[in-house]
Amino acid sequence: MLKLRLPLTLLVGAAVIVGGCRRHAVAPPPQEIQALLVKELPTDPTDSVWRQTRELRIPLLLQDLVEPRLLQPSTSYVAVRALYDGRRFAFRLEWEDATENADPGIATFSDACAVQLPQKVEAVLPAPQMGEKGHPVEITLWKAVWKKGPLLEKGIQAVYPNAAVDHYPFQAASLVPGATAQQEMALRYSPARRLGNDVASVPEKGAQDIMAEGPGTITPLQKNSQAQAVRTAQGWAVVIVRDPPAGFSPDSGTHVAFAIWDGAHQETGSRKMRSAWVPLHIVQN
Amino acid sequence: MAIVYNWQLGRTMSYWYPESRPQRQYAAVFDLNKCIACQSCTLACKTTWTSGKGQEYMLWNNVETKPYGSYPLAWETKLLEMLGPQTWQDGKYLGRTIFEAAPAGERVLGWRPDDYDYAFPNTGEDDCAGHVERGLALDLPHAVWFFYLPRICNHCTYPACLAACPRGSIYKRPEDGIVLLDQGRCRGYRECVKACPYKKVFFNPLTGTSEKCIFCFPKREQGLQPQCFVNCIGKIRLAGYISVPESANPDNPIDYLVHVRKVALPLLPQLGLEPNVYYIPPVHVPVRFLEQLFGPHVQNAIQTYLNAKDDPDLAGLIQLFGCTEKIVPRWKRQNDWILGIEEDGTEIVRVPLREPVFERPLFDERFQVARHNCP
Amino acid sequence: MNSREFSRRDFLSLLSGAGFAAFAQSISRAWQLEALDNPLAHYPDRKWEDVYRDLWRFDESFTFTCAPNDTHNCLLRAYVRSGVIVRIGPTMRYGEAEDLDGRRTTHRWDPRICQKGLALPRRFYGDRRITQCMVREGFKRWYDAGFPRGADGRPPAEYFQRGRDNWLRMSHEEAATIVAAALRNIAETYSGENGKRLLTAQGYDPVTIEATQGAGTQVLKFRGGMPLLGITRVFGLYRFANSLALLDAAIRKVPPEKALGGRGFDNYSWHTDLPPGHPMVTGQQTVEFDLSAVEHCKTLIVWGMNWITTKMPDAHWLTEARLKGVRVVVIACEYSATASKGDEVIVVRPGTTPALALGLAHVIVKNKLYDSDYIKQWTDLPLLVRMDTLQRLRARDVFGEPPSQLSNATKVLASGEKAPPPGRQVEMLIPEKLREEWDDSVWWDAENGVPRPTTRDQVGKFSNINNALLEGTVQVKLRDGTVVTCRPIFDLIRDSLLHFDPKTVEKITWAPAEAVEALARHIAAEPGTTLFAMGMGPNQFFNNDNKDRTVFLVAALTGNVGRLGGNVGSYAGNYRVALFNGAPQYINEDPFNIELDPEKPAAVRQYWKPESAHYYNHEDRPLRVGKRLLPGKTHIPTPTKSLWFANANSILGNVKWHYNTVVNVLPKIEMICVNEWWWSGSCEWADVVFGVDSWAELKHPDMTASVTNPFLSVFPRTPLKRIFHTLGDIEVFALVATQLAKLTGDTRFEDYWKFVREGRTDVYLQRVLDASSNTRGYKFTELEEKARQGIPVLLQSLTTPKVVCYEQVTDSRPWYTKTGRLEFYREEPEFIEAGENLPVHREPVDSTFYEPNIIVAAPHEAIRPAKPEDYGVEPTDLTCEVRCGRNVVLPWHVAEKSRHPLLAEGYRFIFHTPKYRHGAHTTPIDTDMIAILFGPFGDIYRHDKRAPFVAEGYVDINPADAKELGIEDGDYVWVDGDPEDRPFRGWQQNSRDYQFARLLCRARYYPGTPRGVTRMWFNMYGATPGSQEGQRTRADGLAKNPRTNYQAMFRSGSHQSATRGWLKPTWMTDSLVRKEIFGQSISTGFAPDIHCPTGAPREAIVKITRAEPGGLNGQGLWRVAQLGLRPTYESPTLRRYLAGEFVRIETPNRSS
Repeated sequence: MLKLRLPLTLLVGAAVIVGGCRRHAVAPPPQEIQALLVKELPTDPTDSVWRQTRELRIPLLLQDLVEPRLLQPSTSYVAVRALYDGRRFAFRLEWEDATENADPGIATFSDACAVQLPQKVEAVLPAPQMGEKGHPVEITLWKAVWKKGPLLEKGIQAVYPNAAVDHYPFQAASLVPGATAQQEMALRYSPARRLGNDVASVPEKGAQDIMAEGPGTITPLQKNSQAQAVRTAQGWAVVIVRDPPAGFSPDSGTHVAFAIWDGAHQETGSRKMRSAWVPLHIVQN
Repeated sequence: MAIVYNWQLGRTMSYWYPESRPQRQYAAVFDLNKCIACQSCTLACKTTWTSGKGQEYMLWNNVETKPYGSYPLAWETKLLEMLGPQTWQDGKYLGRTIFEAAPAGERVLGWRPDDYDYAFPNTGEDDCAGHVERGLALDLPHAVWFFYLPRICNHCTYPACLAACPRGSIYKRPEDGIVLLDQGRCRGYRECVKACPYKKVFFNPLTGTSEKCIFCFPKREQGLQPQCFVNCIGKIRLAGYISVPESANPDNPIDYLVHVRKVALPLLPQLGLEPNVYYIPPVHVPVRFLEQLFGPHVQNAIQTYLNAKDDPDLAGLIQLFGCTEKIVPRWKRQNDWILGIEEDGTEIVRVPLREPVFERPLFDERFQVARHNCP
Repeated sequence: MNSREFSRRDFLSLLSGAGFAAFAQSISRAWQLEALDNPLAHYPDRKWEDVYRDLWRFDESFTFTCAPNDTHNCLLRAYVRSGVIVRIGPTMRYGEAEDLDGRRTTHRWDPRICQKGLALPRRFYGDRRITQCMVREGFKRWYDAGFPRGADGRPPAEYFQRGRDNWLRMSHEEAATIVAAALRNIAETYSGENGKRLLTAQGYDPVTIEATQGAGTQVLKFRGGMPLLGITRVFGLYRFANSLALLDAAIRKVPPEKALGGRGFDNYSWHTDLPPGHPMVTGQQTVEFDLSAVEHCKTLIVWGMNWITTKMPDAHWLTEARLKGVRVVVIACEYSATASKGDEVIVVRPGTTPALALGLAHVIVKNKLYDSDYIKQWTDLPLLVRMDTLQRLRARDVFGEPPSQLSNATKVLASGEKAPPPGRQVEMLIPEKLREEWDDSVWWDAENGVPRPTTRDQVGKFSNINNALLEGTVQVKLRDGTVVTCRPIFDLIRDSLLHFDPKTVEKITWAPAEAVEALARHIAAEPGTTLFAMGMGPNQFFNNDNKDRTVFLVAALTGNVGRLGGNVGSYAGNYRVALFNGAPQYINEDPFNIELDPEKPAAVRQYWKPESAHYYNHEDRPLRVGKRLLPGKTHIPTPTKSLWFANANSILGNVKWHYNTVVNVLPKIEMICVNEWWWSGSCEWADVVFGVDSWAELKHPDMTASVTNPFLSVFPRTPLKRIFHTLGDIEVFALVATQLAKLTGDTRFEDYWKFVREGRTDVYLQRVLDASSNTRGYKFTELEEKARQGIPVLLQSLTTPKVVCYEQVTDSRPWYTKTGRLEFYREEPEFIEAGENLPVHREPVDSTFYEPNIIVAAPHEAIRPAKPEDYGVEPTDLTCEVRCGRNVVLPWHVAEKSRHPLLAEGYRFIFHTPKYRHGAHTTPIDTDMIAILFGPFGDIYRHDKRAPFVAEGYVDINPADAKELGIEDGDYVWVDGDPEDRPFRGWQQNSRDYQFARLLCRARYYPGTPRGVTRMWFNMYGATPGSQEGQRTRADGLAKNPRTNYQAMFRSGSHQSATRGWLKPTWMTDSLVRKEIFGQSISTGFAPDIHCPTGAPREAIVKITRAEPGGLNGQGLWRVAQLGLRPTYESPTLRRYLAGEFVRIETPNRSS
């Protein structure tokens, strides 16, 4: 298995190169992400420092390894730039997406992206699709819908502005707003929030950290990754700042994979466009 | 995919997971001839379980008028259209289930409603099939008709929501077969919303998780029937435990109605989920329409019901519905009384076939006063 | 795993906030990385389930009674968490209800609750809850200015901008001070000669001014809405009215015996719930049976009654009776909800019930299928009527004997002889004078060809009528030698029935002739086994007394009156206050002689006067047609200058002809006070709103009973802390009384409510229990204790279930009529004048395609009404007022060629407004969770901002009619009634008010209603100036008054935009004989809720025009139609579905 997989990922990488060559007769594009070493990491996608970095256009593949699969291709590539300050990475993902899908709702889906790294540097790369048992991956997630802020606190009018609701038990006049009893009552009527399910809240720093050992095994992580996004003329530009894998050394580099969800195509969970593992190395000016 | 047996189809079928039946399956019988669409069930559920934020539109229990009512809009016709006409032969289903009809890359044949499909939750209320032009007179079955269809999660033996969840956040409780969606683990992919043909899983736009009927398991654990049963003033509902046909027990009210008398039928059995809510079909509705919803045994069920006037067991048992909050595992008839009893034989409740009449003397000597019906 | 163990463990940890957080933590760190092999078989960590176990938990529970005048009075259980009522449930203990002898009901009575009760917490806590007292700013200024008035006595208009004014919050004490001062000021202003002068200057009808007898207190009107629903709490306003005799005595300086209290409006008749023909046939208020009696019949005819939507907790009696073989026949003007539970359904034209009944009677009489023993023993049909006078032939005129002594359950009171209190009365009590006047009757012995007398005692097994002549004419020689032509009543009716053969009846009623024939034969086949459950459909038409008299005729001909399994019942409202016929102990305690000893009964004297609210609804005018004043003198109202009501929205917010009332009546009223706990349409138009306790907060117990179930129900005091600054209704009355005591210095005002202030309301309740026939023996404190456990008790009525007229048939006792028999002939001059001495069919007064209100009959010797010319009006005058008193007789073949005067102008739709499952009257339909399920337009998220609320009013229309008008399903439409006076008189010159009064609503394609017949449910809150201000100014566009939070469910107008106050002469006679409301005494003329106007609020002929497209924000089709899911818009898929084409069933014997 392992033997098989490594070459496989290389093969995929190779395919990229070939494809790239066909498109541009000019200087061969990099086959790897070159993370430029800088003093400090910007979180703003429009920061000028990004211009010093080299962009790698990474083609995206349908996630069709596990059900439910994505059968209709949507986003074709993601253009990635990276920075490294000796401690953390900053990735700048840019991709085309004609429609902005940032509205919460019963049947709306959010545009989103994710950066995936191995949890720790190891000889064997985890499976590119969410890792595998014993070979965990860490994923940092950004969702467009988060910009709406904490929905549960804002209430249903944040989603449906004309909604009219007479009463919530936790808003009864006989309860003191903010008092423990009142807060407990409110929590009681939002099971997911009460259970601390991270999807029920908006991450403070705009990014959510999770780990996985294969499909269906996502587990929240308490990390300090950050994300910031801007809507561009063609789509999205998102900066994700996060730690490298455990035991990462600048000389040896690591691998990174990406995923993009297009809300307009109702992409969510495993229905997504993903990349293969892409090598990453640190470079200096 | 595994091969499992579905007795409602009279055959095996493919399913995402291997067959594994709970120790006991909590189930229900609804008598549609008694349903008055008062929506007490809907409110009982709503005020108990979905009074929170982001749940405003959710009706884990709803009552719709057939044929024009549907919540969410077109929940069943949309899928029937995708599946196409199917055939039953001699009680056996020859067609495809939604598992067998699943397209490549999918575990289940399904669709996801638009948010506006959840608006107008009681559209079609009292709208009839057929058209009243002027005066008319109707006998059974009615040429102009509608009926009320109360719906909750069917806590299926082969749940589509469970099969579709890539996260494995939906499971079936081994002790009672209740299907639950783990609010701590769900990531709001809505694969279950798409897969459930009854559209009884709902997405909460404020918490980002999907939520569904829990068959009031906290009450079941205390031996009590669910909220939508206890508050049912039409007295159409009975909750209990259903056996597989071969081990049916006539003393068990659910088994008696479903397996012994075959008067209560599953909703859209052809989809292959082996749903565990059983409906006594409305006697005034054309059989052909009902067979679409309740399968090939509608005709017999209606005949059995129409004969209940000479059938004190059946009539009596149906009158036991709603007479107690307790789950009634066993029952029996003693002359003109119907008894609900515990497994161990202790009596829970007894009701008469006919309510007693009391007559009082015109003049009450004890209190020196006349008693009038027209005081 | 043992999940109970979990919940126990969790129980403790959850009690602290810390435990709460810790719990969340423990769950969020739960197993995640473990991929599942088979979730059907195993799930690793289920501790999370505790969140739902915890959501189910509650700290404590208590019971309270929910009684929104739907007749059910359900004892409910409230579940409390952290001091908040989080949900409601049934008590499940009705099966333990017992009577004084320990006889028990069964658990088939459980559960008793409904969706409206379940939604109550949203009204206890919602934003329309009235949290203290509200006084209209202008009214407060009028008070501060010392009640200034113009020369004619009218207050300056600047103080009376009702519906548009601001509100001031204040304490109950402040508000009570203002109200007491206003009551005294108004009473003073309109007392004596000066008072009469001012009223004359204000243009009131002289007879109404005369009726005040110079007492200003007589223009103060009070209404405890449906007082049976609160014997002390609601009835308290009548007690208050009685106490105002003290005020009158002080103002006019008259002795007690000359003092007059206030006036009290009626209830049952005001709601058009009274079937006015019942007293015309049986001599008492209403015949009905507890609904559980259907267990004991063989055929149940549900006639114009939407049982399963309006009698929901008792619907199972119907479905279970049917299950056991009772044949259920549903007669309705549409394929109704209840039709879907019928074995047989007959759809008819609205308002034609009398004709249908006459058709049934025709078949029964023509084919001699009637129960001749029953009609001879129990009816007046064999009795002779003189053709010269049209009077019943008196025995004295033939045989010269004085009236016989009466002894059958009857006592004749010599003049001046005092009757015992109502609750202690055993026999029927008849004043000697009336007895003389009635005399005995005469029937014709066919065998011997001689007349014979029969007395009032001789009914049932005592009847002496055997070979009576039923058909034909006889010459009877009177004692004075004159010979008069007489005919048996049976013969007069048989003659009139000839006109109503099934074919003609089909033309009139639309009921297929075969169905009429078959139903008549079916009823007659087994006499005494059919129950007639009559609903409000037929009763809310102008011909409602015709309906009662003709339906009773069918029932009597088939032996179906007064039997457990064979009877007539009329179902609407919870009215029979006589179930507590000792109520006068409380209502009418003598304020000049107050009993302050809790152990002693009160001294009773009535100083207040009852009055029909229909005159207030009719602009305080009695009905005058030409030169004829039609109401009898016993009915005459006084001007209404002050109105204070409790427990009701029907007298103002949802009043019939609402927009005329607020535009043309209210300006003449100087104070409107409302006791409420939820801001209703009535509050919008009031001056003072007293915020009172909800049912869940009552601190003073009360009691009620029902006409549809056998229970005596108590409102227990509840442990719930008052949520807001409210008081009990009864405390509000006491408070105002205290202020009156301060103003007048008369402490009796205060003493009158002594036990309320002492928290001993139970003293008054016990007095009533002790004094009432069917409750004597019960101790209130014990009843309240049981109620706290969720258990009611049984009324000690003669039978359980209650079956009115049972004693007549079972014990051969006379009915409360002149002859002691069921009377189908009305000999009184008012009935002869109206052409209604016989049971006839009048066309509806407005809801007809033909000439309104005509009597459909062939020329008949006994039908000789007063003609329009006799009143001095043009025979062709069909204006609304004249129409009411218009007696024109036409045979059907002529009538069917006539037309409603507005038909040609496009007013071609009957518009009726029945009640529905989502509201008990208007309670609680403006509650979000209830509203979203009310009809097809519910949307809690209000995608379409035009929606006044999360649901809205709509008119149901036959799709073919709608298409003709270019109206799509879901479009907004205008609905206009007769422009003569709808929505209000003078709208043509008043665009300001017309703007909110004209009905704008959604149209729904409704294939179940016949062409030409449209329907709008009765229950929704109408538009007000404030609701329209909300729609204009609020970002979300809600039709919600920014000043009051009043929530309308219409963009403009309401179902009352097309209704009107109709008055029928036969409702207003002085001579009809009927039992008094309390007890067994018989008298004549006006009696509130028994013999007085009922109106005809279900009548209107309307024009419907398209206003806006129904699609989202006014674009295109309404979505559901666009998706092909609506009648006539069916997508191919839906068409296949309707045809059942999605499955094929192949069996050896059948292939579909």
